[in-house]
Amino acid sequence: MEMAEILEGLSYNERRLLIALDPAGGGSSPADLIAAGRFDLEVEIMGAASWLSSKGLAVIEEEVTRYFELADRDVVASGLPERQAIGLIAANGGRMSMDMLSQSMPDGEDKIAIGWLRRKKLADIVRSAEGNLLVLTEAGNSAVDGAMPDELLLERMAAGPVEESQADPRIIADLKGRQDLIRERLVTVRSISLTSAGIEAVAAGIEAVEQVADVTDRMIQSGEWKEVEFRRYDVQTFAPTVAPAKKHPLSRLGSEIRRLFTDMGFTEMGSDYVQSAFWNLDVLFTPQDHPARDLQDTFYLESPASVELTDEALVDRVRAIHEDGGGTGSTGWGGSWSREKAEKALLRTHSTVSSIRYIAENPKAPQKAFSISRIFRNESIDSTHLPEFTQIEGIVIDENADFDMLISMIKEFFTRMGFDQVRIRPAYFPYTEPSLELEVFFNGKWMELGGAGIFRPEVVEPFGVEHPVLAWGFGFERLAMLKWGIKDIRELYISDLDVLKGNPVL
Amino acid sequence: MPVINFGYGDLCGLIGRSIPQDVLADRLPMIGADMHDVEDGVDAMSVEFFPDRPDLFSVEGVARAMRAFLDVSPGLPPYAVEDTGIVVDLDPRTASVRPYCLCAVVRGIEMTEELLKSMMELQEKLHITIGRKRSKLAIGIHDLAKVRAPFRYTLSEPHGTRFVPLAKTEAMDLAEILVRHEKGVAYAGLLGSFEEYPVILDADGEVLSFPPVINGALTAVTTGTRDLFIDVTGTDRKAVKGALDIVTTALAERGGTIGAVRMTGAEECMSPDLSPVERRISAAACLEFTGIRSGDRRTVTDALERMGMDAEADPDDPDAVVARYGAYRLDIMHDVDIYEDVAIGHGFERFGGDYSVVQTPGRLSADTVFAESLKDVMIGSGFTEVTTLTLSNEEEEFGISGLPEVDTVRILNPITEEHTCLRPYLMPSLMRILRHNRHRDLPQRIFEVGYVVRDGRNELRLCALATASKTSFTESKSLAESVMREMSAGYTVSPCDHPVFIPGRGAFINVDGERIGFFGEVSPQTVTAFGITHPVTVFEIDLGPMTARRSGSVF
Repeated sequence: MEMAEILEGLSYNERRLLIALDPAGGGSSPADLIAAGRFDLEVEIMGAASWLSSKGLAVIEEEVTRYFELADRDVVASGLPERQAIGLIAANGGRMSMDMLSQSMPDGEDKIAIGWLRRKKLADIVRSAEGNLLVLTEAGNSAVDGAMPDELLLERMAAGPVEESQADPRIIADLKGRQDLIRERLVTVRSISLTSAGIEAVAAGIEAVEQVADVTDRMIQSGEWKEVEFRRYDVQTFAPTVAPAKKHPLSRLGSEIRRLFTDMGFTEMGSDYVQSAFWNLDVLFTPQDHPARDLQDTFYLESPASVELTDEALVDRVRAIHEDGGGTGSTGWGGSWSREKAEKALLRTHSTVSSIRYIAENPKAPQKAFSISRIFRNESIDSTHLPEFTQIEGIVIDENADFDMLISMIKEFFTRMGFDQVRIRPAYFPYTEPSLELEVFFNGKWMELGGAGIFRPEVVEPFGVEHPVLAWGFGFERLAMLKWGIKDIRELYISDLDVLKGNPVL
Repeated sequence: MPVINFGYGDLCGLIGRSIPQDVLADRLPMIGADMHDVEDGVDAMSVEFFPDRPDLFSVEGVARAMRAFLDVSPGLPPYAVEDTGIVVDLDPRTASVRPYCLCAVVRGIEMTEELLKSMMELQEKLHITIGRKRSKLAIGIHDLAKVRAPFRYTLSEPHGTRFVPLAKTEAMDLAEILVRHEKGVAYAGLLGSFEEYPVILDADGEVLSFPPVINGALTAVTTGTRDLFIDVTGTDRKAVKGALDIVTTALAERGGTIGAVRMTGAEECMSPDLSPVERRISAAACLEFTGIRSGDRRTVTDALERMGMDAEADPDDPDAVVARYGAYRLDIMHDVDIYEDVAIGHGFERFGGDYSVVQTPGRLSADTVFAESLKDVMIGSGFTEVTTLTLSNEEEEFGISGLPEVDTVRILNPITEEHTCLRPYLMPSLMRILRHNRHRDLPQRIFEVGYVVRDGRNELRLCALATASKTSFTESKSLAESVMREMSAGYTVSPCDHPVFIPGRGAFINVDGERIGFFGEVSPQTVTAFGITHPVTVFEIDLGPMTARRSGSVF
C-alpha cells in the first residue's frame, strides 16, 4: 500500500497513538501513553498499536521478566519447619530425641523439618540409649538467633515479587522444591515506538479527528451524521459467512432441465407410480415372456396385486396386436396374450408409461411433452444403483416427424444441456423402431447417456396416432453425479447437511 | 445384453478381408452394438449385441453382418443346402409335451477349439435369450458319425430310457438325471408336470438327446468331429426354426455344408428351410419415415444390401422395393423394422439435419408450479430442501413413528427390509435424514415437497422437520400457520392425539372439514426410536386440496 493510502485509512485511535509516541522513535510504555494520548484503557492502545504495526508505522517490543512471589504467606509468620525445630531443640538444651520432636511437631512436619536440618547441616543425629538424638551443630547454634539466606529471600518476597536476577538461583531452586511455597509470575513489559516510516508520517503531520464506527438511528434522525467523520474500514478484514437454506441440488438441476424443456415448447406430463403391467409393458408392445417382466427386474405388488383394466376396446386391440399384429402390418409376438398378466400391479419401471398415457389422451399432432419423474427397478443398492431413481423423457408428435428430426431434436436438446458433441448408434427397445443410444463427449471421453427412438406402430396405432412419435429418455441422477463429481448415487438421497451447505447454488 | 467374445484375426478371416482393428472397433457399434474397449495389439475383442438380433450372437454371425456392412460383399449371402436323405420321425405324442422339433446336418466341418467354444457360447446365448432359459427352445449339436439314421423324436417314461449323459460316465434313467445331474436339476421344472419325457433316439435306440435337459455323452462333439447333426426342440415353432437357422448358417460360415433332413410324422417338411423371407415396402414411405430427403429408391436398396439383404426395385411398381432377408433375422416384424435397417445401412451418423420442429407452447405441470412456489416459502423460512426415496417400510412408517396406520402399496418381491412399501407419509423419510445428520451442527431445519402414495395414487405432500437443543410447540404452530397463510388456505386447527406427538402438543390442520395435515412436538419415544438425540418438531400436510384450487395458470 502507498503511504498516502495508509494514512487515509488510519483510525482515530491509530492517529492519536501516532501523535502520542516519541517523534524521535524512542520507546514508550502503554502506561505512559494512556496519559500522553488521553486514552481510557490500555487495550485501546494495544489495539491501535497492533494495527499500526501491521501497517509498518510502529513496532511493539515485548520483554518478558520472571518474578517469584509467595504462594503461602503463612510461612513468613510461622517460619519454615526447620526454623521451628531449631527453636524447640535450642529450648531443650541443644539436643532432643526424635520422638520428642515428633510430639511437638505433629502431622509429619517433624519429618520435613529433620530433612531440612540435615540438608542444611543444622543438626546431627546421634544414637544414644534414649534413641536417636538431634544435636544442633555449630551452624545450627548460630542460626538460632540469625536469619538463614532462604529466610531472608522469603522476607523480601513477603514485601513484593522478587525479580529472577535479584535472587540466588540455588535458593530459588530449593524454595521451589518445597510444596506450594513460592510461585513464578511472568511480567511482560511492552514498549511501543515509531518506525522510520512512522517518524516520517508523524513529521508530515497527522490530525486526530474523532471517527464514527457504527451508524445509529439516533445519528440518522438527529442529523448528527452530517457532523461526524465515518471511519474507513479495511475491506480485507475477515467476516464470517453463513450457510443459507436452499433447494437441494437435484431440485435445482430438475428446475433447469424443466426450463429447458418448456423453452423448447414441451408440456410437463406425469403418471402414478403404481401402474398395471398393461400400461407399463403390454401397451408398449413388450412381449409377455420378456425378461424385463421377471420378478428380478420389476417390483410387483402384493397390495394392490392387480389393477382392473377398464377400456375393453383397448384391451382387445392390444391383445390382437400382441398375438398376430392386429392388422397393424406387424406379425405380433404370436402365442396367446394373457389378460391376467397384464392386470398385475407393479411400480412403473420407466416414465415411458407417462408418455404413452399422454399420447392416449393427446393423439393429435402437434404435441411435445416431457417428464422428469421417479421410476422403480428391482436393483440392489450400491454406489451406482438405487431401486428408485429419476428418468427424463421427452416425446414429439409432429406431422413432419421422421428419424432425421429425432436426431436433430436430440442434438438440439443436448447442445442446450451443454454437450456440444453428441453421437448416436443403433440400439434396441421393444417399443421403438428405429431405436438408438446416444453418447455425449464430456471430460475428454464419450459417455453413454440415454436412449431414443420412434414409437412402433404396434404401440401408437391403438390410440389413433397418425404421425411418427419421437421419444428420448435419459437418467437424471447420472447427470447430477457428472455435474458435481459425485461418486456415490446414495449421497443424492441421504442428504448430508454439511455437503448441502458446501454445494453452491450457481 | 449378450457379450460376444472373439479374436480379431478370426473375425477378419471370416469376413475374408483384413480390416484394421480400429476401423472395426469404430464400425461395429454402427450396426447396433456396444463395443468394449479394444487394447492396442490385443487380439481379443468383445462386443455386446442387443437381444433382438440373435443372429449376431456368434463371431460367425458378426462376420456375416460386417461383410455386407463394410461393402466387402453386400447383399444376402447364399447358403447351399444338400439333401442328406436322413429322416427324422416326429412322434405326434410329443405335441402335448414339447411340440416342435426341427433338425439339420452340417458336414465337412473342421472342428477347432475356437469353433467348439464359439458354438457352445452361441448355443448358451440362444438358450437364455430367445430360448427363455430353454423353455421356448433347446439346441443339441451331435457328432453324426456316432449314431445311425433314421432318428426319432419321441416320448419315454421317466424310467424307460437309460443313457450316459454329457459330463457323466455312468448311465442314468431320465428320472435320475432330473434329480442327480446338474442340468437335470436346473431344468427339471420345464418337465415337472409331464408323465413322459421327450427323447431323440437313433436307429439303434441310442440316445442323442433328452431335450431340453441334456445330450448323451455318445454324440459329444470334439475337435475330431467332421459331421454334425443338430436338433432344436421347443414350444414356439418360429423360435425353434430361427435358432436352427442361426446355428446352421453360422457353421456354414465356417465352411461346413448344410444338409437337409426330412422331418416326418407330426410335421412333414425338409429342414432346415433357409429360403429367404420377402417383404415389399414402399421406398417413398421409407424415405419419409427416415427423413433421408435427398434419397431415392436406390438409396433404400443400397442401404438394405449393406444390411445383408437382397433388395430389388420392383420393375412394375416405381415405388416398391422387395427386400429378401435371411430366415435368421428374427427381429423383423413390421415394415418399420426394414426402415430401421435402411437407416442403419445408410449410416446413423448421416442423420440430424437442421432443427426445425413445429412451435408448441411449453407448460409446467400444476404440481411443479405449486411445488416451486411452496419451496420458495420454505427456504425463506430457513428450511433446507432434502430429497428422499418413496420406497420405505411399514415398521418405520407406523411402528416406530407412531403415525396412524393406513393401507400402503406393498411390494411382492422386496430386496431389503428397508424397502417393502411405498411411503404414505413423508415424515419418516425426513426423520431418517435427521438420523443421518445427528452429528452435524444444530439447529437443523429440513423440508421436502414430494410424493407419497395413498390408495395407489400419487399424492403431493409437504413435510418440514426442525431439530435443535430446544424446540417448541409455538415454533411449529407458527410455521404451519405461516405456510397455510402463504397458500391462501382457509383452515382450522384441532387437537391431535397421535402417539407421534407429546400428549397435548400435537394438532391437526383441517381444510373444508378434512384433516389434511398435522404439526407439533414429536414424542421423545419417536425421536429416540429413530436414533435422534435432540427434540424435533414436525409439520406435514397433504397439498392436494390446495393444488386442486390452482391450475398452474397465472390467474
